[in-house]
Amino acid sequence: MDISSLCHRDIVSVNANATVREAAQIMRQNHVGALVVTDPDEPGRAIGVVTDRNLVVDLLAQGLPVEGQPIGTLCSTSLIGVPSTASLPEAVQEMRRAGVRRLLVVRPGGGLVGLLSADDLFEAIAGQLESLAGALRSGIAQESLRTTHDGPRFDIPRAIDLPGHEP
Amino acid sequence: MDLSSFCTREVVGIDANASLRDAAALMCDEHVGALVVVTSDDPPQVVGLVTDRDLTLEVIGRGETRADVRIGDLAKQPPLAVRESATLREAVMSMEEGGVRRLLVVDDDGGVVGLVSADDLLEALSQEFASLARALRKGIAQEKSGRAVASVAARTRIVYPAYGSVAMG
Repeated sequence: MDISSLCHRDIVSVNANATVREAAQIMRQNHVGALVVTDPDEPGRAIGVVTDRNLVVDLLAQGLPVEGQPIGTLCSTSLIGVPSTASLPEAVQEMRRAGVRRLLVVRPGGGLVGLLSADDLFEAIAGQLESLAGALRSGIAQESLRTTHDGPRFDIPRAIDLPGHEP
Repeated sequence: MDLSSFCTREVVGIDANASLRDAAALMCDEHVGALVVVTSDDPPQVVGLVTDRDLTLEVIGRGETRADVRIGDLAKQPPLAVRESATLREAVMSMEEGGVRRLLVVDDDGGVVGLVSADDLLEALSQEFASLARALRKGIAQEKSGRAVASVAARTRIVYPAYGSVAMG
C-alpha cells in the first residue's frame, strides 16, 4: 500500500489572511475537516493545517471573537507529515507520535502530494483484509475447479536458493 | 456481542441552556468530539448530539455572534441511537444510513448507557483481529508441544450508569 496513492490529492486550501468564518465555510462547501493554510505572500506555499476541531478548541472554547479573526493565527506553524516514500507503519507511527489523524504527504524533493487521513488508512487496510479473505476463498475454489486463472504477477524462477545456501 | 462493551468513552452531557462557549470548553476539557445535549428535567431527557464539526460549520461558518444562542438550538433532532443488544453489523448499518460516526447506545427502556464511535469499533475490531492471529499461532504451538496452551484472561467490560432517556422509534 503506497501512501501517495492512498492520500487525497485534491487538497482544499485557504489563505492565512482569510477569516475563520471563511475557513469554516470552505470546510462546509468542500465537505472536509481540514484545510491547508497558504502563505498570503506566496499562495502556492503551505504553512499550516487547520481542522474543524482547531476552530472549536482554539477559538470558541477560548472565548475569542468569531468575527474577523484571520485563520492563520489558529494553525500551528509546524507541518506534520511524512515523505511519499514512507511505509504504512511509518505513517501510523507519525500519527501516533504527533497525536493527529491527518498527515501531509510530501514529495522527497519538496512539494505537497496530498493529505492522508486515518480514515484513508482504515479503508485501505479493510480493503486488503477483504482481498485476503477473497484470495483464500479463491484458493479453495481453484482446488475444486482445477481451472487456470490469470498468470502469476511476478516472475518467480522455478528453483530458488534457501537463505544461507546461495552460491 | 454487547455493544456497550465497545463504548470506550464516558458520555459527556451538557444542559441545553448552556452557551456555545461552554459547550466548546467542555469538548476541550473532556477531550471529546461530541456532547449529548440534555434538558434540565429529572431525569434529564436527551435533546440531541452536537459535535465539534457542528460548532464549526453552524456557528463559525454562519458567523453566529448572538450571545444568547444556546447549545440546545444546535441540537435539531434526536441523535441516532442503537440498542446495546444490537449486533455490530446493526451498529455499522445505522452509522452508514445516518451518515454519522457516533451512535448513542441505549438499553431497552431508552436509557442512555453509552456512546459508540467508529473509532471505538475500529479499536474493538483490531483487537479481535489480533486475537485471531494469536489464536492461529497458538494452534501451531499446541500442535508442536502436544498439549493445551494457557488462555488469556477475558477483557473486563465497562458498564455505564443510566443517563437520561431517549425516545426510541
